[in-house]
Amino acid sequence: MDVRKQENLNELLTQFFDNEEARGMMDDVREADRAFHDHPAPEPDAVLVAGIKRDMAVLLSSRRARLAWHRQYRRAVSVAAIVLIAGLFASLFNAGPEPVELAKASLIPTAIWESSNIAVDDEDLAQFHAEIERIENAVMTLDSDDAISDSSSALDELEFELIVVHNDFWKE
Amino acid sequence: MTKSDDLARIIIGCQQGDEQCFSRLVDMYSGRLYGYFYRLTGNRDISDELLSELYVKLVEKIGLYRGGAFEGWLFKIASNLFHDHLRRKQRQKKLLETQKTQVESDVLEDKRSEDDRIDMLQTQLGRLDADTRELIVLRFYSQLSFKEMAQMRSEPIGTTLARMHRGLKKLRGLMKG
Repeated sequence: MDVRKQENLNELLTQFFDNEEARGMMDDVREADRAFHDHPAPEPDAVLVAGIKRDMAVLLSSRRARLAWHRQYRRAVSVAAIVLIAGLFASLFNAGPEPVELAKASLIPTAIWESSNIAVDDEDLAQFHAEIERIENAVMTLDSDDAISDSSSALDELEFELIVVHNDFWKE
Repeated sequence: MTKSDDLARIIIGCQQGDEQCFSRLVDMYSGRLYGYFYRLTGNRDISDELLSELYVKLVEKIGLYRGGAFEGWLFKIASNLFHDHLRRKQRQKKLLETQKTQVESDVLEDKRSEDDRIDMLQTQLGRLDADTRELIVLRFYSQLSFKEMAQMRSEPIGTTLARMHRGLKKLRGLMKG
């Protein structure tokens, strides 16, 4: 045991004890060192040391195997995560444009579609259909030049009808 | 290359799982660690067990070593193992007491005295209280400075020195007597 850490024992001891006590302790330390030198503890058996080394080798190899498995597992998880993220991105960027909701125009007022009073709604619908048919006929008459002579009055009449229909629509 | 550089290289090797480096650590420290365990237990079989356990712990914990006095770190593990052993022994003793199996206890005591070649130092160390005995044994086998010992024991250096002072004085008296 001659590789003991060097420290200035005298300086250290005089910080905590008076000179006489410090000297006494220095002597005690030297005496104890001598006693340990004179009465050496038994050395570990060579078989024991060989066994320890063998056990350590087994432990290290199983640890290496475990680490390798963990590494493989982590790699597999990472790859799976990358594939999943890539798939998500692909599906996000390759997806077609959002289906456009078609705006539908209708002559039939929304109130009728939303109403639950079927009998009244049927009546209204019949009335609207009749009006529409009448307007269509008037337009066709104008187009076929059958009533050239009174075209201005026909147009006035048509305009009037349209105003009436329009007002009726928004009454609902 | 200095001795500490060499040790640092071996420790790095151990942290990387190098079998040869562990083997070198075993060669370097087995004698001192075995002496430490033997002087505390006075029993070769128990010292064998504790030394084997210590190297298993070393393999498991070497990755946690973050520099500083390696001997201090290593002997701290040794000290913890010794205290675990004491606790186990206490539990066994309690169990034996409650079961009143005095015969078994006698058998254990007989086995121990057959196995152990108790020298004078061992006898006198056995007369010190457990803490003082451990302190003196640690000082000799770990080769730590008093400052490092105080750090390892998490106590002020003055406390370590005072305990050591009383213990050495007593041991010296016992050895003379």
